[in-house]
Order: sequence, then structure tokens, then C-alpha cells
Amino acid sequence: MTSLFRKFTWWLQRRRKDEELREELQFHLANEADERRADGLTEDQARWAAHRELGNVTRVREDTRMLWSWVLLEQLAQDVRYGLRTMAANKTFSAMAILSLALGIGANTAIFSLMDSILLRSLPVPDPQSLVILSWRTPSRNMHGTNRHNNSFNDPNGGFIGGFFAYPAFELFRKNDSVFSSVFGYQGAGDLNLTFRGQAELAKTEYVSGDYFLGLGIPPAAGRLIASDDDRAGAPATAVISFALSQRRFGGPENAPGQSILINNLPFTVIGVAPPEFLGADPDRPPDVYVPMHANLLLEARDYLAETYLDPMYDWVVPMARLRPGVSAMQAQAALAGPFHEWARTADPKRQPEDVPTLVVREGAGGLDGLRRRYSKPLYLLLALVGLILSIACANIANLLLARAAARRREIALRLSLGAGRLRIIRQLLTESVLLAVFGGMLGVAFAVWGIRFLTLLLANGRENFTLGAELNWHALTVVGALSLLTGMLFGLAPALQSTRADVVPALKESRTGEASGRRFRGLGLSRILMVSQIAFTLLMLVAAGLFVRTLSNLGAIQVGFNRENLLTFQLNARQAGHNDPEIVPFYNDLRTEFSAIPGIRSASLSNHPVIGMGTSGTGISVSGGAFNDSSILTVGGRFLHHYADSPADWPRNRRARPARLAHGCGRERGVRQKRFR
Amino acid sequence: MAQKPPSRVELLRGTLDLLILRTLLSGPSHGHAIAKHIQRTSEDLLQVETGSLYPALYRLEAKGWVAASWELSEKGKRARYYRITPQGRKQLASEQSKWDAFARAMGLLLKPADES
Repeated sequence: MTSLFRKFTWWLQRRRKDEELREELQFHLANEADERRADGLTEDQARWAAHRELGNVTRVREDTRMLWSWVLLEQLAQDVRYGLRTMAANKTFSAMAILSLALGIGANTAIFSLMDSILLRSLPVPDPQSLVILSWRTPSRNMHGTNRHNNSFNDPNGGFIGGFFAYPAFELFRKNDSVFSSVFGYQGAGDLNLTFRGQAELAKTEYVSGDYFLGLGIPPAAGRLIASDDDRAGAPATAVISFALSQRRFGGPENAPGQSILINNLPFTVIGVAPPEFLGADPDRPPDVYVPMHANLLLEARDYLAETYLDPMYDWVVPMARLRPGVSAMQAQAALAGPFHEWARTADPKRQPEDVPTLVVREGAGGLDGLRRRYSKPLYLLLALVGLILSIACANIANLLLARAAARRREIALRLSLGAGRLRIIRQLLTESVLLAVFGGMLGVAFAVWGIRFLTLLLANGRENFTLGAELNWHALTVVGALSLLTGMLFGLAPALQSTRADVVPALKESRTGEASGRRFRGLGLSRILMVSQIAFTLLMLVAAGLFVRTLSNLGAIQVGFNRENLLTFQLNARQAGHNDPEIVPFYNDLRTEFSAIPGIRSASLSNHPVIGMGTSGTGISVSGGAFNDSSILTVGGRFLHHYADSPADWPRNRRARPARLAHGCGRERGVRQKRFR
Repeated sequence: MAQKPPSRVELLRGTLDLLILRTLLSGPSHGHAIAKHIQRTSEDLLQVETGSLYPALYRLEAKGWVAASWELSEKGKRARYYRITPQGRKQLASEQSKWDAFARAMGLLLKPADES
């Protein structure tokens, strides 16, 4: 280290060192000349001989100077200065190159940021690497039980994979504490009616097991979080709310604990607030309210509900677990496979032996993968597309550089003939192109910020509470840096190699303007290849973009089978809002009558499920003697309608207690047609 | 780096440092004198290229094996005199034993006992 220190102090006094060296070499020359003179040479001859013996003084000085200077660094500084001057001299070229690169790099960074937050980021909990997701896999879909078909997916590794388990299976995992330090689970409760100070709203609610927050290891933002003791039948009704909800409704997290709220008209006490960065175990569906799992006995007052805690055929808990230190997911899977298989076999004796599910324990650092499943494919596609855009930009700039290299041939030939090394010139040309790329990258960050906002909007697709926390972070910025350097090298290398290969003599003989003389520049072959690939890629992109736009406009103009003009829909749930069974039917009916009476509304209608929604369920009805399954009923008017008489007696009885949807439209009703849709 | 034209005997890589240190053992000296001393002592078989002498001197100084100071030469001119440091002596000893071993090995291989 002393040598590095000495080098640094030398560097600080490099001017004096330089002077000293000059004097020292002067002394050497004088001494040498003295000796030659003593040998009988004349004054001049002696001096020349001494010089000859010493060789190139400048060279010696440069070689020695290396000891107190960081040559590469200083040359880089020179190159950067020169590059900046060249850029300033070619403003149009530089601006064009920087702009196209900024677009390319910006688009790539934006997509990467999204991928980073969706595919790569871990849950904001301590030690996410020790979290695992438990799921089951079967070779076929020969299965009974509730929730099994709907919640299993094709596994890329073959068979079907599902993440919902029966409560007894969850208990089984909990008992196996040799591999897990904690096992916790949750179940989505859907949108429940949350009332605070007389104001109601729909709040996404999640049932969480008592170990949920403890197992995830997150601290409360205020108050305390749900603990094991809160999750049992008969425990006081408690709830934890999300940070966003606490800000929206309680004026800050510190005000929330201790407040009482109504969830589906049942009193709950808010005991705490989840931290702001925590959006639930599945970042795709951030809940507003967490309630203990056993609170479902209160909220879903159904007779059979208590039995669901015992029923091995009813899958409803999504389990996660935290591994004990030193235990791997594979080890946990091996340890639990036997007990789980044994349990599954006895739980459903009707199953064929080969269809009995096996346990799969996967890394759970990223949480549950709803988002990943949904967005990974479009993101990879987008990444490929923007990668292509960047490569087009690179090819474009490489081409421009080639053209400029032809113009700079004389300059480079001059420098080569003055003794500049080829490597040195290539390095300088590369510095110029990397400089361009760095500027492009900096501007690209600005584009990326804007692009991320746009993409989030695009992916959210109208969902209000889309909480994809995509942002520029150091991951993304590293990528920008790497991309800038890489692209700079990429589009700079070929032109740099080309232009330094030029024959010095003919290039020097050319006129000052650098106009081509006789033989054509060798770079033209390369530039032709670049041009062709650029056009090919651009065409490909254009086709892809065209298809994309076409699909978008098709989606907008899709024929849904009814008149969508002037149609408004909304949903409400009378039972959640506190209406009780006998009055629910008149309530909905009054609502419809009142809506119909509003001036400007042509007709109003109710439906159990919306016309276009996530799914429907229905019961068969009979029209003119023919039975239709899965019918849904509403009046919309105009060209389409399915209509029934106004009197409440005609309302299908089996759906009177269900939440109803109300639609009112302005089409002119024309006779009665029937239509069946699913 | 400087391209060395073939001299009477080309210096092996890394031996210049050793020669400089050895020369300085007999007392402080300036660059020109060091070069002359090596040349004379080797009976003019070795000629030190000035192009590599000065970088080598500064390199040795950077490593702390020699120290330099400006003094008046015997002719009354200012000259940069190099002295070997204790660290340099240690380095010289280890280099010398390495060189001895190398020379012995080369001698054994190039002149096998049965031939002599």
C-alpha cells in the first residue's frame, strides 16, 4: 500500500516530478556527452551520440511518467473531452442518436422495472427466502371435493397444481413443526361491506390464520396485528386494516386502533394497521381488511360453516410456511410428502391410488403468484419487443457512425500515420459512442419514469386499486447503466474497427473534405447488412404493432349481443348492507321502480350477475316448454332483450336473496326475444 | 514499452532491478553512473538501455527499495542520487538467492556432469 500511497503523492506533485525527470535526463545527456568528448568527438558529434544512446527522450519520459499517473484514466479523460467536442460539432447527429437511444433504453428500463416488481421482487418481509408456498399436484383432474377444479392450474411440469387445501390438511402441516417454524394460511373473503361512522364502502377482506402476521414476521404500523389467540371460535371480533385504508378512512394509522367498525353490519374492533409496504401475501390482491380466519363463522352465518373446519373434501385455505433455519424447500417437501399422502389417501377413499395428490413445496419469497401467472407472458413479450426496438436503434446509430467514419477517414488516417496505435484510436472512438449511449441512458431514465406510469395504467386495465409497486430502483438503474455501456460498445465497435482499418496513404491523399476517391469505402458492406436488418426488424415491429392495435380496436368494437349505448351498470348487496330476508325482495323491487321513475331513464333491470363479468351462475328456467340451463335474465332494450313481467311474483324465487344487479338502459323495447348466454 | 534493440547480451526480464540494487550496494549513485557501472563491470557485455533505466529507477523508488535525493555531483552539477534502502537490501538478498538457484539449475542442465 505504501507504493500506492507514494504513487498518489507523486501524482499530486506531478508537475514537479515531471520537471525533475526532465532535469535528470538532461544531466544524463550532459554526462554522456562529456564522456564522448573525452573520447575525442567534437561538441556536436558528442551531443548527437549521447542523444542516440538515450533514445527517444519523450518516450523515456512518458514511460517513467506512468509511475505517477493513472495513464488509462488520463487518456479516458482526454477521450471524453475530445468526444464531447466531436458531439458538439455534430449537433444533429448527436441529438438524433441520443434521442433514439433514449427511447430504446427508456422502454427497456420501464419494462424491466415492471418485471422486477412482478417477477423478481420479494415480499417486503424479513428473510423472504425462508418462505415457502405449499401446493398439491395430481396427474389428472379426477378429483372430487369443493374448490378443487376451480382452483387448480395446468402445471408446466405436467399434471395439475392447486394451492387450496382443506383445513385438516392445514392442521397436518401445522403439526409438523420439525421443518417449519410456522405455518399460516389465508382465504379471500371477497368484498365485504365496511361501515365506519355511518359511511359504507366495499372493502376487500381476507381471513388470515392466527400465525399469519407472526409467520410473515411483519411489524404493525400501529396497534397490534392478529395473533393466535384472536383466531378461534368465540374470540372477540377483531380486524387489522391496511395502511391505505387507515389513511383514507381514519385519518392516519395512529387513529385506527381501538375504533369499532361494522363489517357486514357486525361490530369489529380495529386492533392495528399493517405496514404500508405490505400488500398481503399475494401482491395481486391487496386486502383492505384482515380478519381472523374463525371470524368467518360470524360473517358467513351458514349452518355448515363450522363443519368446513373438519371437512377433508372442502379446500379453502391457502397455506404458506416459514422454513426452520437450515432446512431447504426440498427437505421440507420430503419430510411432509409421506404424512400428506397418507392423509390424502384416507381423506378421500374413493380416489384412484394414482390420483392421490402429492405435496409440492416451492420457494415463496415472491409471495403467491397470481400476478406472475397473469402478467409474466405479456411482460416477456413486451421485453422481447422493446429489446428489438433497442437493437434497431443500435443498428441505426451504427449505420450513422459508419457513414461518419467514412467522412472522418482522413482524420483517422492522419492520426494513424502520426503513430497513434490502432487500439488507442479504437478506444477513443468507443469512448465517443459510449458517451452517446450514456447521454441516451440518462435521457432514457426520464422516458422510463413516464413509461412505467403508462404501463401500470395499461396493465391495471381500469382496476382502481391496482397496487403494482413498480418504480425505478437501483436494480433498474443498474440495468440502465449496463444497457448504455453495452449498446455503446455494440454500435461503436464495428464502425471503430472498420474505420481504423483504412489504408493510410490513399486516405491521406484524399482531398480535405473526405470525398470518396476511386475505391469505395470498405465499411459499405457492413452498412448494407445493418440497413437490411434494420428494415427487416422495423417491418416486423410494424406488423406486430399493427396487429396489436387491431386487436385493441377489435376488443373495443366487439359484438356482445346487446346494445351497449347508454347503458349503465352498478352493483350493490342488500344483505351486506343490513337488509334482512323478508324485506330484501321488496327492497330490490322498490329500487327498480325508483330508478325507472328517474327522468331520462328508459328502463331499469336487475340481474344476479352482470352482463359481462368474471363468471356467471344460473339455474334453468323454462320458456315455452323448453328448458334453458344457465340462463340469466335482464332487460336491456333495443335489439336484444330478455324480459319478464313486472310483478314481483314473477321473480325467480331461488334468487331473491342473492345480491342483485341493476341495469337501466335507453333502448326501445321491441317485442320479446329470448337469448341464452353464459 | 520501449522496444529494445538487440544489445551485446540482452538483459533477461526482471534482472535490471537486481543489477541496479546490486550497484547501489557500493554507495549512492546517479542514473548515468549506474548505467556505466553495469556496463563496465560486465566487461561491456551488458549495456543498459537508458530507455528502461529511468522507468526502472522510479519503479524501485515507488516500491521503496531505493531512495532518491538531489545532490551535487563530483563536477558540481545538481544530480539525482539514488541510495539503497534497508527494504531494498532485503529484496536484493532474496532476489540474489533466487538468481543463484536459477543460475545453478541452468548450469546443471546445460552442462551435464558426464560431458565435462
